[in-house]
Amino acid sequence: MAVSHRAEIFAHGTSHERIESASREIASRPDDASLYLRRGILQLEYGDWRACLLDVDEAERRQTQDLGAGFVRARAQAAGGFFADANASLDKFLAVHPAHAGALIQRARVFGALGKKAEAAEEFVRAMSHVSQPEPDQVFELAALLCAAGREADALAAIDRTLKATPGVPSLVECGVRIEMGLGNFDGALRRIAEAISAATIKEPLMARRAAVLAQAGRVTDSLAAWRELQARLAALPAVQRESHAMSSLSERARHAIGALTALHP
Amino acid sequence: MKVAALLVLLPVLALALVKTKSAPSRSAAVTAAAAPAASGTLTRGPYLQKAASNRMTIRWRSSASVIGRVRFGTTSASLNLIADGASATTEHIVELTGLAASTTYFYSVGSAADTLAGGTDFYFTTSPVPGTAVSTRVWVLGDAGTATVNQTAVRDAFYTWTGAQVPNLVLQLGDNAYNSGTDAEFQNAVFNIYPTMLRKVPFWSCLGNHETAQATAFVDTYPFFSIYTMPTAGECGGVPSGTKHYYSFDYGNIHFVCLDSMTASRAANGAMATWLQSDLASTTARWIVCFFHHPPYTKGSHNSDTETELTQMRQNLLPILEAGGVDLVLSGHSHCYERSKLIDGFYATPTLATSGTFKSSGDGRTTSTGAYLKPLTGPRDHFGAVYAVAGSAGQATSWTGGSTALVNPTPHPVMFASLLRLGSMVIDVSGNRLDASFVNSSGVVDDTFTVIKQGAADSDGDGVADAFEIANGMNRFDPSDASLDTDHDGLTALAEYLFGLNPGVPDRYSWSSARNAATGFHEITFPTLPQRVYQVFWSDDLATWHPGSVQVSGDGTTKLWIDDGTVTGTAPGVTARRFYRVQVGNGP
Repeated sequence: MAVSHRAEIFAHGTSHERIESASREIASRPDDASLYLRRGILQLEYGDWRACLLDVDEAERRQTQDLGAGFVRARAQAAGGFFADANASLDKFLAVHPAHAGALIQRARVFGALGKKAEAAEEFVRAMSHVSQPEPDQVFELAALLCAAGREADALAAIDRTLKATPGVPSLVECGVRIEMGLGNFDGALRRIAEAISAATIKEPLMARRAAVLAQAGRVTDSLAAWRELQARLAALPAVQRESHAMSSLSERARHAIGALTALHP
Repeated sequence: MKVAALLVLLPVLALALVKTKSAPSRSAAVTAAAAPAASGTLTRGPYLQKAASNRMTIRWRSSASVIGRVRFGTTSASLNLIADGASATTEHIVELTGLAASTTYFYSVGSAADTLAGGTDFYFTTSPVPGTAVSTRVWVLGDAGTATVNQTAVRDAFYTWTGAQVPNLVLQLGDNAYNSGTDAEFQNAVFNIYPTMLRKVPFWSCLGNHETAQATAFVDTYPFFSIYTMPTAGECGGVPSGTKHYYSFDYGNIHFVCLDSMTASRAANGAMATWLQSDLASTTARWIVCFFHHPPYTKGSHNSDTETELTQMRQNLLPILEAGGVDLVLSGHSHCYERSKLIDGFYATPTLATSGTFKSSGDGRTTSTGAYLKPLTGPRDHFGAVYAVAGSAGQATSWTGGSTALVNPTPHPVMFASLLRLGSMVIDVSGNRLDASFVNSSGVVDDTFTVIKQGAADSDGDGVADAFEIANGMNRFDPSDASLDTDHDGLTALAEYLFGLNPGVPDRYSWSSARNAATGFHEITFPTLPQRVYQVFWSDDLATWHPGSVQVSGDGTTKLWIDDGTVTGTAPGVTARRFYRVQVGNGP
């Protein structure tokens, strides 16, 4: 059964006003479990996880059908830093809703907070198996958990799968570059940047990234050449583009980098 | 002339026809063999999405499931081009590609068997070629979706105010359809309210908290994502985001950035922030306008000092935006109108008047303390941005603390204007000038401000443009280096910059003074540069100097001023001696 937390009582106005509105509705229908749960979600959105837990208690005491209160309880417990309790709540909830991606992601986060890196990564992988087209934000989180579990190759594979479906997304390219750099695999990072450069319409920012990675790899001569290549490309741009903020900033970076690298290796 | 224009246009239109007809679906082929199916009735739209200089997406909903067809052309009488949907559906999404920039197309929607809507009022104009400076009007609607008389009053006031000038695009700041962003609520609060605007102007929206019914899960299952078509692959300008949650697009010389402050990670190293950095590093547009739902500064019906989304957007995303040269940030969420001064660096929580820098504390009005000025060229990070909360297009509720006074009794410290009034914003951009207006529900303009871009960026205010400092290894944040003479040619770095010389090589400004043998007059010639002003002075004793020429703006050409005695009173040959000098200064 799909659990929905769509609410009809989210009136306009401030969070306090919405909570007060929910309270008035509860006063008129004090036995309606769903109202307590909705107010609890509002409390949680406003940052009051304690008040949320009280409302979840009230909702569970009254509920005659599964409203998904366990998931809300787990989120509130996690927000309050009670990760072991949140884990237990999620176990119960997921036993009934095993394919609930949101709950799986929440449990992965709880595992992470509990220091269970391997379990966190595995749980997030399981959650993503229920997502047809992963979003960059999800891949970022997945990659972080996999890397924390020492599974950098799996993280890079997940990035590559997503990039294949949505090519050229710079956030994913950068995520991959950071992981490769973390592994000391500069050639891998440079390969990723080179692929991105070939596909990009605006190549200059990626050219700067390439030059910076070469410097970090200790390849000073190559880095100097890359910065100068960027400088030449910037100089050849029409004035209206060359004088833009973005290209002026890249020009400044190139100038500083060349100065610093030349000072290191005159 | 007309023939030449036609010759250019025809191949473009032919391309549009080929591209949209190139891949007929299997179901289309089956339908073609039988009698074409009728669409039934039009139940939504048509409306325009994902607009660019060479493309437009047209959407509508029909009661019957058919293969949708758009007929279009450059006159209403001749819709000679056709684009079909991919398969039979009631939710039609037809992309027109290969269009000509800045061109008006008329269209109709329906199927092969019928036309559901069309006529002289069904048209759109494609965006200009990116980078082109064209006059642009943007209508900004925040938290409009109440489907009440408040919403229609704001709409009608704008329609009357703008008159025949149809806006080029509409920005929706979220909470477009109360209460939970259901499809039915969108029908009531968007499609039934703005039908004539939707059919001719693209609407771009960010995600509000009422689009998700307060849920924060990062998913695409909210009805919002089925209703809007976003450019996820950078097809309308900007770099690909790979997600419908945040994206960017260009209109002329304006780069628009849409962020998701509701469900995306708001972390400084998250996917959205990483994408934003890349996007801003890639745009060469003159203007950058960003919009998202949760305002970084507000004391309206929400408080930016206490609420998570607002605080995180301010602390984590604003530093990226301001480093990227953003000019204007638009938000909703608070049901009021608030507008900041020209500010930079107010990231702290709580936000105090001393938390950042007021680049201008004026009102930004040309008729009062003057427009907000920003540089036109060079790096433009941290020259200030204006932050506007325009969340009263559907309701005006209360200030933080509960006051319902027209003017906030305890306004946010960065704000210049704080008004509890129904209305919408209008942004007009023309070349280097941006004018913003808040048009209330009575059609009265309650607030205006202007941002003008002129001159070269000069971060340390030493008179030497940043671009010159960068190119010559100077520090653009250290004003003292303007007085250095590193090449010992007697000219400071400031003088070298103004004259267009090289501060690393001893050199001189190559102006000249010579007597014309034929006329007997003295001719002063001097090379000029853009963003400088020049004036010739004369003296007969080297003690008192008089203006000779008027002040002229540089343009890269060599100028000539002739002393024929008209200004100086006596012809040069009459006096025993005469001296001249050319004065150079920074200009607009």
